[in-house]
Amino acid sequence: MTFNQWVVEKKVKEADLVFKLALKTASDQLLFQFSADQLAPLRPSFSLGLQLAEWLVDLILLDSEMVQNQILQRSFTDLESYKAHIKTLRFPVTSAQEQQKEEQMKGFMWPLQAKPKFERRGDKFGAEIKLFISNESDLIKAIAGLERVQQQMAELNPVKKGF
Amino acid sequence: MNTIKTNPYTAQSKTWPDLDKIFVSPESLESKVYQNFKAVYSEDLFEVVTESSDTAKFLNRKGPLSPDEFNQSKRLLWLTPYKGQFFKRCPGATQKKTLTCCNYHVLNLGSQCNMNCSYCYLQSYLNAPTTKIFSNLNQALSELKQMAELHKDQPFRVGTGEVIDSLSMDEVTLFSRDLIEFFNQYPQWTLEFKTKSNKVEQFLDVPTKGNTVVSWSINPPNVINQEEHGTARFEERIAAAKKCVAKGFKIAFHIDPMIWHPEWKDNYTYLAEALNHHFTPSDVHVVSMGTLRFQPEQRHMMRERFGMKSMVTKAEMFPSEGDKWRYDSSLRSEMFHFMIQKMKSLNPKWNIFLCMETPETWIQSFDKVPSQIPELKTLFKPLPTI
Repeated sequence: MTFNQWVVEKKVKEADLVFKLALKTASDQLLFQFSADQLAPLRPSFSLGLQLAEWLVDLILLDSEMVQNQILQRSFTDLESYKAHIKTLRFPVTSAQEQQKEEQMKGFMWPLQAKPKFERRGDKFGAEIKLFISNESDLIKAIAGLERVQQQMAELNPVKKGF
Repeated sequence: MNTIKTNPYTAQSKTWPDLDKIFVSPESLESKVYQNFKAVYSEDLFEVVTESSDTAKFLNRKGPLSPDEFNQSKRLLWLTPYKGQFFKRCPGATQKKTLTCCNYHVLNLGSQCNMNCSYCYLQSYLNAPTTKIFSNLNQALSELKQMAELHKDQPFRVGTGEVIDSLSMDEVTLFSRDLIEFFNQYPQWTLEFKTKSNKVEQFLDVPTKGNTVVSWSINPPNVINQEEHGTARFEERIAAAKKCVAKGFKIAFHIDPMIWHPEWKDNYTYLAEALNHHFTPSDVHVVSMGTLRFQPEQRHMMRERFGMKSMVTKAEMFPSEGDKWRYDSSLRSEMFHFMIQKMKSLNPKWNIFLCMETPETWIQSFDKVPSQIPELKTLFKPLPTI
């Protein structure tokens, strides 16, 4: 499937592709065509496809050589790894910070063997924790465990007071 | 720049903002501001607009602007009376549920700007094809008088720099002179000019009762040079601020928008040290801080107008409060905390607050909300809704 076929299939309008207007040179437009054609067979949804295509435009304008070397010359078999790769290129600083935060939070002693699920919600990155409580004793353990996590967090990021 | 002419008021020869055309509504022909423009711009730039003409249709057009139309709107000026309410609350103050905002009010005496910052929010706000300068200042002042008489003792703060720079065209409009004189009658009220220019000479001879604040939106020199096109350079803004202090005007600085870049700590340290070197906290009414934020739809216009080499277009932004995109919340807190600590370590008396931020960011940056900070209590105290 080409990007143009994806556009037809998903009923994408011209206004949805407004970000393409920033591609002013023929070579940038061609590079977009190639890289978008690499994305389309991964069958993204309407909104994810547009988001990824827009990030491709950003990356082409930032550094077209990087797009050639780090996107076009790689092969992607699934959408998730493609998205993760493009996101790391478009958001390098945040990606590194998220990774660091995830490593830190994984090291905390979460109560009741809870497994944190890491995700970004808008301008915040954090962990979602699910706790199964069946009685008061579970709750006491959970609260004590969370207090322990709070202490670990405070040691890593001392609260800045005193203004 | 346009032809060098002498402003009859300040008797100084200057170059004036570049304009391709000045449209004039018939109702504006008797206005003082029209005479001021006539005094400094060539006759052939002016066109009086008759109702139902094609020009009038063009001028009244409303709708999203393309990047080229937005650029053109900076060079086409329309002198026309404003038909709505001049005096409004700052947009931040209308989002009290999500943002912790000060009691700022705005008086819009025009719209659009003759400077060209990459992050300018007017790119997603304006929908008219020209710069507008409103010719009915008297009406604005009479509206303001009604409000001021009603709430004489309330500490209202009124800024003129929301949708137009307060001073970048003021050498021509000379609005500042009438405004300072007007506010002298209401010492509890504060007038704030907000600018990125160094245009202050035109009002320095007007006596002030100390309730006019001339404020600069300021950034480190590298950010100004790269992102704030056509504005006064860092040293020019500092020099203009010093002139105001020397004449008894209060000044303020808005370190806003703080823009992340790899060397941000060094560059914002330079800014903090420079402000501390040139001024004392008693010269400076407040220092406000805000980080980069914009409406998401604005990114397309910015990308087309400034490419992706700009620190603004390549910024890593995320959906945030008030339908705006902002940096990651931890990064914002880090930037605020760093800058607050830097300023306070240089002099603990700097009076600092955050602009358009969430209560969470306040707590992470200051460990307090404004009502718990004695020097900010007055600024954030609820005022009668108008």
